[in-house]
Amino acid sequence: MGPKKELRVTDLDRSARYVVLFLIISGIFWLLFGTLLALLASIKMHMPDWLGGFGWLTFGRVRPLHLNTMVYGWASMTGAGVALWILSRLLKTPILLRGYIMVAGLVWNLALLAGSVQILAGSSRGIEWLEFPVSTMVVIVLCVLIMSASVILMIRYRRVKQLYVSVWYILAAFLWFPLLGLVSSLPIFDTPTVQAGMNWWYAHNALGLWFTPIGLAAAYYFIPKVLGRPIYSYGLSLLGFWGLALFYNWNGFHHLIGSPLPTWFVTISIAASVMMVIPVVVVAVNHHMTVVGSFSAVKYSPTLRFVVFAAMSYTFVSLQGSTQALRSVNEVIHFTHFVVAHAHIGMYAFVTMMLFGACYYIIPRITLQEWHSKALIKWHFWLTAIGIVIYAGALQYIGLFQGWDMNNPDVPFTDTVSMTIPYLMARSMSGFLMTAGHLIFAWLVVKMVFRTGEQPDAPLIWEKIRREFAL
Amino acid sequence: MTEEQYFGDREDYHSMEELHKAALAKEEQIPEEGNERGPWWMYAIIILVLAFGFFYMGRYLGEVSDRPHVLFTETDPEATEEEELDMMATGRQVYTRVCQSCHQQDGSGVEGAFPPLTGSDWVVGEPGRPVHIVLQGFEGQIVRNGVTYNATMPGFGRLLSDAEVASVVTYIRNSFGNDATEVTPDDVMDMRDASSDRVSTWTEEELNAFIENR
Amino acid sequence: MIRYSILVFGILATFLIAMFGLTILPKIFIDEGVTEPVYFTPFEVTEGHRVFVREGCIYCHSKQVRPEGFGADFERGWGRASVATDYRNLLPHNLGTMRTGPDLANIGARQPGEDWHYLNLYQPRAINEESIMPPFPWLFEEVGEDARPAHEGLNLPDEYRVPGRKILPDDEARYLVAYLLSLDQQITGVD
Repeated sequence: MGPKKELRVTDLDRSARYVVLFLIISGIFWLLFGTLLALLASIKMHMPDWLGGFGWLTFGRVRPLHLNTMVYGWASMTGAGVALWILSRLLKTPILLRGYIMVAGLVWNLALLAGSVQILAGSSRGIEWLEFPVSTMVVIVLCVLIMSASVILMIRYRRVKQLYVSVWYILAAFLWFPLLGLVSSLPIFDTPTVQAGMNWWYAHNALGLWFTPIGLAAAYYFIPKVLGRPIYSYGLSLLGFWGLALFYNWNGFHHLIGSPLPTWFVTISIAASVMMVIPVVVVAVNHHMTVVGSFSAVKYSPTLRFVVFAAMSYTFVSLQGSTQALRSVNEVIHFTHFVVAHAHIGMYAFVTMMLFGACYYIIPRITLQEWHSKALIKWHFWLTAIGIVIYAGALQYIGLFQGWDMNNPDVPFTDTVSMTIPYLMARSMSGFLMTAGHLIFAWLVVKMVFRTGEQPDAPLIWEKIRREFAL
Repeated sequence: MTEEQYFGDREDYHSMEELHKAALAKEEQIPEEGNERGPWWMYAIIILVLAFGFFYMGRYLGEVSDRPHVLFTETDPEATEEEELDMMATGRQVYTRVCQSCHQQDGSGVEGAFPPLTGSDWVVGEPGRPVHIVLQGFEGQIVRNGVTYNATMPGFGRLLSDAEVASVVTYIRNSFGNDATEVTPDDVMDMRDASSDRVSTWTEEELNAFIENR
Repeated sequence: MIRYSILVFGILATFLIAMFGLTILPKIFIDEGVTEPVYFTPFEVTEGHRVFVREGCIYCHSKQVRPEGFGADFERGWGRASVATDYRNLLPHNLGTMRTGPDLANIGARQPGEDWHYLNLYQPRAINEESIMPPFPWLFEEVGEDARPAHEGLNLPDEYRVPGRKILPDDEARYLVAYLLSLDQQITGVD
């Protein structure tokens, strides 16, 4: 190769336009679909006879499909789009294999559609986080594998020398996830107890080794970018990354405390879960010290507002997770709504909010369009933020009492159900808030991407940050 | 800097796209990283957490085998010693976990499906009837308070010990407004022996005949 | 400066070591104890398990009993602590992580009444007004009162009864109940 041509950001963003938009918009479609399923499942928990006659809409099918569309549809597709865009910016290289990625994205959408029909029709694989039949899952994994090839090629043909911390996380995510997906599809784990071990090793790692690295990569990119300040410490970035790689891998069995799996594996997982405090605290310090002093920028930048909320949620949910892994705590909260809420703080307050923030930064730059309404962006933020806080607060509060009462044999089991009903209703209310937020977000994106309606004649937000912080 | 100064003269741009391109041109720089060390307490946390992690692993590893529940199998032998049996309390517990799903918390049953235990001659009468129904189960049509019931109750003789059967029968004979004599574990043992060749559930006729013949 | 080769090596090494530790190694250890199936699984039970998986029962009912001294599973009468051999026959594993409803590891011994299960599957609130379990009417068929005289309809309370009709369990309901009744710790793993 001859001397590499210097590529301008404008060229990079233009070349990323269709791939990234396709992935993000596919993700938003699955977000809306998954939200609908979430509402159905949530309402059915306190109105069990509502739509009770339809087999394909029963709670036991809607709930897993909600999880699968959110995980493999919304968070994975949008996450992949965001990661590829960040990578292109950081390596000053256009996204490679764009045509293949478009095809992969299309196939991915079709696989999700097929998987949705399969679960509703009753051919779920029946393993939490892996409900799509193996064949469908393998297709999705192969689609990610094409993006992994693109990531590796982009790093190979990069036009910068250094590899910024976000690149480490994105490379790791795109190496880990296809491996995870393939291992989880292997028939060698087909004896029930062994499968349970594989199940929770996979499910915890899907969050820890796929969404978490993408989320952290976004935080590491957007925080310094929006603020125009360097990340606090390279050394802490290193420590945080390798800490995650070392400890997160081993966490899965803390879902199996008290189960018939050999005790010593569970103990190792609990110890590793506690040690996750190390990378979490290190990353939190690194981010906090970067933001400190410029905190008021969250008022102007929707990106920063979402990203900071997400980064704080990451710290919170991880420390909570380390605590939950301890046997004495797990004894109470395992099998209750507390854990459901915990999972939502991870996947929603951290991953989803991070992706929202990333979208607010990326989409105007690749479409060269402007968001239509500052007020609606604020509504989106507050509806979703308040929604998830109510969600987590209500379910974790009652989850504790549910757990204590469940461990008290003098309390009839029925009471541990009826006591949760008002809080399950509060959860449905919070669901409506988040749904409203998602609809606003989708409407804003559609208006901008498809250039419908009256176009704003002045930039709404992003110039203001530059004015304030002279980026 | 005002908005106008930042973007230059608005008139220079013919469209939003050009405006954006001009702004994008100022975004070339890749984020940088500083070289700070971080606060001291962060290192204190790291050391504490590492120490706790290894301590935990050493303390609770159990044994390297395929055995689950290693940490909970050493039950205190003293605890399993014969304690004084509180018939009503044990009976209530057994009732809650075994009987309540059909006969309900207040013994009222489910009309048309599962007969009530309140105001029933069988419950408060000859103890052999309730004990044998609990041991081997019951099926066939019966009428209680003018309602016909035709459900099958399975036997729980295999699941419950003599003490548990005695407790739960005593409990239902003395709850829900009922008032009748206690049934002791020894009584239950005798009755279990007497009907040890019986494997199927009782019908009304068979049970009445059996009780009368004893 | 972090080198690309070290990065890739580290990413793969941390993953593969943990994968070995948490999937392959448990498999080696557990498979040693669980080799041959000890009992024959009847067709109804296998089919019932399929219905159990299809309707997503596991999202509310765990199927694992924690040991005595850890939680109150034992005191609640849910059975003895589960062991690997309890799960030897049917996939997926269905250990579950939620107890919106009670544990089912030993339900066949705890609640051996078929009638109760049919009623509870058709309309849980006919038995317990506070239940939030979904109804599964599509596992049953509604026929005229005089149809199929050999079969008794479900003993529904009046408020759930349709005049002149009776409710009969379909094949799938019978399979599902057969499966539930097979969940009996005295029959499954004895070691």
